[in-house]
Amino acid sequence: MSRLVRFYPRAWRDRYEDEFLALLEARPPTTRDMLDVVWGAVDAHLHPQGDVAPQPWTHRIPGLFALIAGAMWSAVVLAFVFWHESAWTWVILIPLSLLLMFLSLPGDYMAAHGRQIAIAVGVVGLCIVVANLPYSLPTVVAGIAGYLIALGGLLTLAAIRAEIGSSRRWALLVLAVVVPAVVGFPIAVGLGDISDETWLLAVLLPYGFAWVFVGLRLAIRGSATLVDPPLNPTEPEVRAA
Amino acid sequence: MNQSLGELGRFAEPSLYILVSLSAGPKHGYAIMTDVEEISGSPMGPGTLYGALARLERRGLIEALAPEDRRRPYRLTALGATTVRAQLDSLDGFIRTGLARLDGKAS
Repeated sequence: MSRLVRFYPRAWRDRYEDEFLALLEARPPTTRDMLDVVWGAVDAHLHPQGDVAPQPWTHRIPGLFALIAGAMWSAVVLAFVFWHESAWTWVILIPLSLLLMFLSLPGDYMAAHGRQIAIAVGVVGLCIVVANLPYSLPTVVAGIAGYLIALGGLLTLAAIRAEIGSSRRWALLVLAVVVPAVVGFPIAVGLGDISDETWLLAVLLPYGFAWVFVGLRLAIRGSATLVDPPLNPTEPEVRAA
Repeated sequence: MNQSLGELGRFAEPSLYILVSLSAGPKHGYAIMTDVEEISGSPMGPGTLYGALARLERRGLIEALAPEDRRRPYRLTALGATTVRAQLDSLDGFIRTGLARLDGKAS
């Protein structure tokens, strides 16, 4: 139960964590209590009390974009798994979800993560070049690897923005990209017949779920976009002084 | 002067129960929970309790006292007492009107 308290914002925990844990320890929690604590944590993020300034609604946009992108990606994959060839009309959602993933990334957090962003942009550029080389098995493999790294890079940046710690980011990357890539490699290089066994495309599902998870966390926490004014307007003056 | 609890949304009803509970004297979280369960007949979840406590504290209706061990008692402020009295008076009027209408004594 004490793990659930970690879902609450830092400012809330600084003020209430001790007495809240004492309360939770005072009686055995029911399932309803656990759901109530999770719902309370969501509320504490959305409606911070005390001295914490409420976030403008624009801070929720990146998270909503990421959430919708993940949901669209997952919906297309599920459509192919269940309806096979007739799901082709849904395929337009894949480029749309990729667009939303890109749009969920720009923000003021980038100033502190210039190196990762430079690497991610470089990898995306490299994979586009490799994917357009003359067709051969090595270039196909290299192209696919490049795209996987690019997809992993997008997810990593979103996870950095959502303030997911380094070890958890790596775990997310392994579950959403590395494991599906290893499992799906034979399909990707044409060793399997996708038209007969579309269920194999389910390996793409964890990537969509990962974006839903990151998007949800980002939407709850909020993150300043490039056009948002600073939350504390006096700060630059203090710095200048 | 008193404050409306209506602006607290889904926390309005739990907040009223907490204010009524604290009307009998300072209590910490667990004591409030058990007291509210007695008053209302249904349990209040820990997340709801602390969501309401944070809102009431921010609006100056309750205040935290020095912690005893890890448990921190809360007490009603003067504004909180005025507010809960106004809320209960309003509910009392509503209940009287409703009962009178059911009994056919008033239109």
